[in-house]
Amino acid sequence: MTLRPYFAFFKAYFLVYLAYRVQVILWFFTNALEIAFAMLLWAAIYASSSATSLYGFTLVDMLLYQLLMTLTYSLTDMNPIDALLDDFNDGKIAMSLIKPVNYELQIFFQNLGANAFRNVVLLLPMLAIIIGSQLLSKAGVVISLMSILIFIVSVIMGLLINYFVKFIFSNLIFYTEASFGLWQLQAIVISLLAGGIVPLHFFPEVIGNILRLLPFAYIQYIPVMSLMGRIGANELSLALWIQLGWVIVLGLAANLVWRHSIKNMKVNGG
Amino acid sequence: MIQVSHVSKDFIKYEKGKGLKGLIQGFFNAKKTIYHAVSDISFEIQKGEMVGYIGANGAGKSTTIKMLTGILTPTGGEIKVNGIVPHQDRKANAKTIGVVFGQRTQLWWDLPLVESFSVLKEIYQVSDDDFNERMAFFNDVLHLNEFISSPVRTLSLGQRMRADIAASLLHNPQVLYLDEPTIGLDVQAKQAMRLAIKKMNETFKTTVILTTHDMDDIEDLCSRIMILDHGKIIYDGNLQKIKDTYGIIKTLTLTLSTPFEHHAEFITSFSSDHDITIESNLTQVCIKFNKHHTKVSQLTAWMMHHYEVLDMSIADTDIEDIVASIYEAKVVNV
Repeated sequence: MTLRPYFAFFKAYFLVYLAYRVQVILWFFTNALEIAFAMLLWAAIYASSSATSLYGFTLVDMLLYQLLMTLTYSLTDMNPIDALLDDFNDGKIAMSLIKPVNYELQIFFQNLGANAFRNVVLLLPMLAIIIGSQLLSKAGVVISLMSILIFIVSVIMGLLINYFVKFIFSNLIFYTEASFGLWQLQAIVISLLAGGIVPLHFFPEVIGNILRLLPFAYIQYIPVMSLMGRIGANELSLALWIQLGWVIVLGLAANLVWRHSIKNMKVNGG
Repeated sequence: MIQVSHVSKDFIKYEKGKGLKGLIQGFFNAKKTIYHAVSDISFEIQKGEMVGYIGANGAGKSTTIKMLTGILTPTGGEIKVNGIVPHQDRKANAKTIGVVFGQRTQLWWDLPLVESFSVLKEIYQVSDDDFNERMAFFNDVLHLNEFISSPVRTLSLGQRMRADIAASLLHNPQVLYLDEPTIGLDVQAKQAMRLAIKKMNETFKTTVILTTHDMDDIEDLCSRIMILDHGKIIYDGNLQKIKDTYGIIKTLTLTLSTPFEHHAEFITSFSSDHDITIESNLTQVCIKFNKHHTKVSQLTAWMMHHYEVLDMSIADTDIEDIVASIYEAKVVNV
């Protein structure tokens, strides 16, 4: 099998987003606003508390956490759900299935193309903000070359986990034909369980420990925690192995689910 | 080339009740009904044949095409296209086929047309030489260069269809499935499409299966037709034969200078033709007759003898009427 056709999909979607660059710029500002609101909120929370650190996070740590989570969210963001729903609902999937390509890989590379374009646009401003905040913070979270390398590896695995989880969700939507409700559900579940709203440290210990075993934590939380040096050396290697385990398990599950879907497909319309 | 034997496809439908009550009931206890989209169809198509596959909406045409292309798995029966079972080996099958669904596009909506072709070139791994040669050929027949660098979403329907058909032929497929390729096109665009399809068939011996509601497409392109009704094939054979059997009724329309009054005399004069009917509205007269029993010259002579004829025209029954009468009769004896 050659990957050449899939790079064509990658390139095509990179170009599609180039055609919609205004949308990407708006997306950037929406994100910036979200971060700003979260920061104001955390600043208010810390100001009203007598302690300077909550669950081991100072205000500066917390702000950096929010920034890194947003950045990692952008790096690992894959959205097969929209493409799959679109394809399932109005039968557009027929147009992909008449081509000699693997549909799962096609959607993956299309998503990757969109992801790449967005991150090329966003990465520089994001990095500038993060380095700036690093310099400002006196406590100084030290980021070494090694931790950046681990972060990159972890982000790649996070991206795969995110893609597979959403791909499986999309197929559930296909079985139940309940698109909107399930879409909402996955968005909230993934965001909460992945530590997008508050760090998993803030959950009661039992729940936090369970969440740290679920795949959602391995999308953004673990990469960010490793970069912030919040995970000890032993725990870190264990976390990376668990992450790899999830990549494999979910990848196989996604494939199995897809095989089932395609056999039972009804192609709507036309 | 294509062998289909005893193929059926059932869909399970969940009936939803009316109103809120029905919706809630349906949520807990949906009523299952099995819908036979296609039942027990068999046919064979040879290389280079152009076959018209016609039938009313919902007759099962698109379902058949989707099974032949490997998108849908048949509930029963066997399909082989070029030795490949499409739903088992979808990708291998996809390499040898081209498909145009008139209601959809295989082009990238937001990208310039030329980008879609370069993606397709990679998908089918078409060599540079073949690619350039074929693009030149498409440009010759379909005039793609007029809009090759415009984003697909800005193309007119006619342009988009021309591009779509070129896209489906880029890898020189052995079988071309056209599902309503001329839907929504104006007469000129339709003619361009037909010309392109004909040229492809002549040049590359491409086997073509065409579904359409436009009988001109069929008459122009296909020598063989299959008529599908409620999931069953009710006719499979020569187009000319069906025209001979069902197309024996001709229509003569006349405009007279004075109102038509000799109704009874007319019927007695032509009583040997059981199929003859005459309708008149003042000076307008419309006669339907069986061409094997009555000659046009007899009719016109009779009319001219009794009236001054200002204008007249003769028409064959078109295939559309034939198909309509077959749908109604449900039984074909040819």
